[in-house]
Amino acid sequence: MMRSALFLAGGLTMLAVPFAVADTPDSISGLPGNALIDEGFDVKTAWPYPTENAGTYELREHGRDLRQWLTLSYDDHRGVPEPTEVEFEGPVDGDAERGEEIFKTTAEGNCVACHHVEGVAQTGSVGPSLADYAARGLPDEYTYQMLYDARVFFEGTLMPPFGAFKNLTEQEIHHVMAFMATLK
Amino acid sequence: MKQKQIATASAAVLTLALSGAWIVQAIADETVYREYQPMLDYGDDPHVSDDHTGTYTYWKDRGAVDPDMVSSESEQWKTNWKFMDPPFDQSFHGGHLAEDRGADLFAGLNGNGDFAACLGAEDGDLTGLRANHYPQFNEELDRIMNLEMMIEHCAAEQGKTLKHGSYDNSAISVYVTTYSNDMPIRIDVSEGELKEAYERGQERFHLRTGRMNMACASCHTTTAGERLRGQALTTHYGDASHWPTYRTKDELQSLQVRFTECNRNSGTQPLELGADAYNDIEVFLNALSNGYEVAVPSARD
Ligand code: HEC
Ligand code: HEC
Repeated sequence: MMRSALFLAGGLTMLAVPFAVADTPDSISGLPGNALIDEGFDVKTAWPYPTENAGTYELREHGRDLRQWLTLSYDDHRGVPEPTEVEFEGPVDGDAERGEEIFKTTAEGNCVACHHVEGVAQTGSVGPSLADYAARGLPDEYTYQMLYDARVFFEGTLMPPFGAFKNLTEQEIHHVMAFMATLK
Repeated sequence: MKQKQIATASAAVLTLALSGAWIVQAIADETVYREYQPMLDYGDDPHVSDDHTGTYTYWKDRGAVDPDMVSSESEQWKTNWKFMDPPFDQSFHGGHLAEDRGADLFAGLNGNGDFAACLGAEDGDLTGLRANHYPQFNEELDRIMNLEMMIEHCAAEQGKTLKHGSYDNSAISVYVTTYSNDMPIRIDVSEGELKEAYERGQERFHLRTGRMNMACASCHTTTAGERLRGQALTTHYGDASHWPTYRTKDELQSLQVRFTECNRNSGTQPLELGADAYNDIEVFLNALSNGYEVAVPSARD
């Protein structure tokens, strides 16, 4: 096969190449050594930017520190929280303006990535439109559970479990709910 | 706030057909709870025509893609227009500049023919190298190597730094890949190390990770045709044939750099380029492009 031909010609030595990535000491327990991070950044999470006409790439800082969640690395032995049912203890106690910001900001809720609402240029169609959500009169208990962990109602859903995964705090969920009450 | 754990069929998490080397890994992680997107039936000898979205007929012949469909917002995803985003100006874009620079850099490295030989070219002939020999399981290095990793490796043999993912590395990769243009990708994943990598890559592609609990497959299988933040999702069949690609927003991007972009867009901590998981996903995506012709230089939004 091609492989043998390939290496007769090459005369390669394995030792010359530092492919293995050293274990990185880190503050997040369970983070694999081959996570792309830069300790010099505030958020640590980095991504490679291929600078024009150069043989190395630049590391850039991501908008949010993602180290606490499971990665694709085989050296990552962490799990994820199981579907979690919660009881809503009302009333909604949040700031609609702050909620709107969370709803529309990529590094926060990023709800518009999947859901349509009026007034945002680029929204998604992966989830149902929430444009008139409040007009539909669904109970707060339902909305709260959907935001905390939608997997309880929809097995295998694509809707991220914002509360259970500590993506949004309790208070942030209330902010978003306050904003959603204005969608009619 | 009261919480109670719902009994779930955790067993379902590992109902994937375990096989090959990663069974060891799966057993090691069995005690932790994880979720997967449902696996499609990819078979053990996949071909681009197996595309699960039923759109292959619209894009199998790139020359015959229906321009009306391409310019239709609701239909465009069906044309799987992966090698050239609108406004379809093939004549000149940043990918051509990269190809030219790649040619110069290649010539500089290949003075006595060593560089081409190191990449696996016979008698200095680069024809078909990308389409037929990468990614590969490299016996000597005892690991999966894609073309960019090999370029980094062969440059290092000459004391030069050309990191996998860097512009210059990808420029050389584009140049070398032009010698495979119009040749169908052929990667044999029916046996051996590549079969194992293909199976592991499949598992990684469907594993849900990150703050959004999303797998690559969350966006690239069942939701094809839907929109995410205005961008239409397309099939993952035929994805591997036009890399590295020029992103019109200003970067020359290798396939694995794209993985880091998709990772962070969906809230998953990216990995170092060349990470085993990325290499396996690259093998998996190449297998799903089997039979699809190579097309570089390419340009995407
Ligand atoms: C990655 C996609 C995605 C993101 C991001 C997302 N959702 Fe959803 N959402 C869905 C899907 C899909 C459903 C439908 C449930 C199902 O069928 O799985 C849904 C359902 C809902 C529902 C229930 C709607 C109904 O009619 O019953 C609410 C409320 C909701 N989402 C709110 C939000 C909020 C608020 C955010 C951001 C904090 C958000 N979603 C982010 C995908 C998403
Ligand atoms: C949150 C959604 C989302 C997730 C999760 C996601 N992607 Fe993507 N991906 C996209 C979108 C949107 C595009 C651009 C539209 C397109 O090309 O289909 C894209 C494009 C790509 C492309 C380029 C397609 C081409 O041929 O030019 C590749 C390759 C890719 N993704 C691989 C992956 C891999 C591997 C993963 C997992 C590590 C992943 N994606 C996870 C949304 C996602």
